[in-house]
Amino acid sequence: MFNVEMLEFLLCPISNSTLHYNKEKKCAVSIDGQYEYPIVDDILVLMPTDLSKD
Amino acid sequence: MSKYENYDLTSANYDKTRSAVGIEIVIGYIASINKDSESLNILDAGCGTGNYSLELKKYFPNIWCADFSIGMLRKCKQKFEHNKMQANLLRCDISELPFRENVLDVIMCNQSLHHIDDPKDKFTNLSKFLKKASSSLKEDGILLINTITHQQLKDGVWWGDLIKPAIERSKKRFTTDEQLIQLLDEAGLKINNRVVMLDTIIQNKNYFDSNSLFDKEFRDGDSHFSLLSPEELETTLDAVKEIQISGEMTKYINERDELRKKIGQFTYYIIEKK
Repeated sequence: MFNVEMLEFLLCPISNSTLHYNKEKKCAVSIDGQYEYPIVDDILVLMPTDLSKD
Repeated sequence: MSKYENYDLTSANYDKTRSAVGIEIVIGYIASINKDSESLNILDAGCGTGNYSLELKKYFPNIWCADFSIGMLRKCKQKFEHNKMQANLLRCDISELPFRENVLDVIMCNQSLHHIDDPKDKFTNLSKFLKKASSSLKEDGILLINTITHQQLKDGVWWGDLIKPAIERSKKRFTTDEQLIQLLDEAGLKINNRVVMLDTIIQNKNYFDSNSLFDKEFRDGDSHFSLLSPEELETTLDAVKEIQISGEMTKYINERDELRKKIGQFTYYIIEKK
């Protein structure tokens, strides 16, 4: 299960802004809503989309 | 992100040859911080399949596992679940460590930092990582880097002389002591101590069996082999066969291992803020 409290320690790697958890989308989002980061198998993927493709 | 190994593939074989060697050093230095273990936040940067994190989790509840490879992280998660434990799992580029300032008590890097730069980049990503690590650490935090010196690259394994092209390429991926000191200085960090364990062997199982080198699973546990071309690997294995046929293999390994006993296979750098 993903630990939402993790986000208190982390920053958006692109904008350096605070992150919060979007319950509906089940992802982390930068505070300005501009950048979304998926949670895959309880693993937070905190990197730009172009880098995170498997 | 490893610049020369596909760790999503290697993760399947990684644990067959690797374990948390030197974990006692890590635990000892974390204990020396002298804080309540439940208050400590510990990051395993380049966690791989989580061998070190799993050991630390027995003593410290707040463990963060970060890696670029989703294959390694999935394996790491499976192992935590198998042990009925949880960790904070993070897929990221560790040279862009995405942590706030002053939130981590310990960052450890076990044989991971030589993967983050191409030799042509002259440790650019390592420099970025160290600066990010420095800002993420609390004032009394420590950075533990488990790496291999240039001498240990060559003489820390009995087959070092048989894979010379790979060793020379590896030297461009591992800093010298002087290079590391300079990069740390630029990041506001300094070395507090160096620890070498002379009796510990990274590859543990089958290390002294020369036939191990013919086993891809064994070679997958030592990233230097991936720096050999197929032709160079063939030449290496031919050389091993020749020594075996000559009946001199035990003598060869024993003589080479005398060097390993004097210098060890890896070095822990204990690093703190200046």
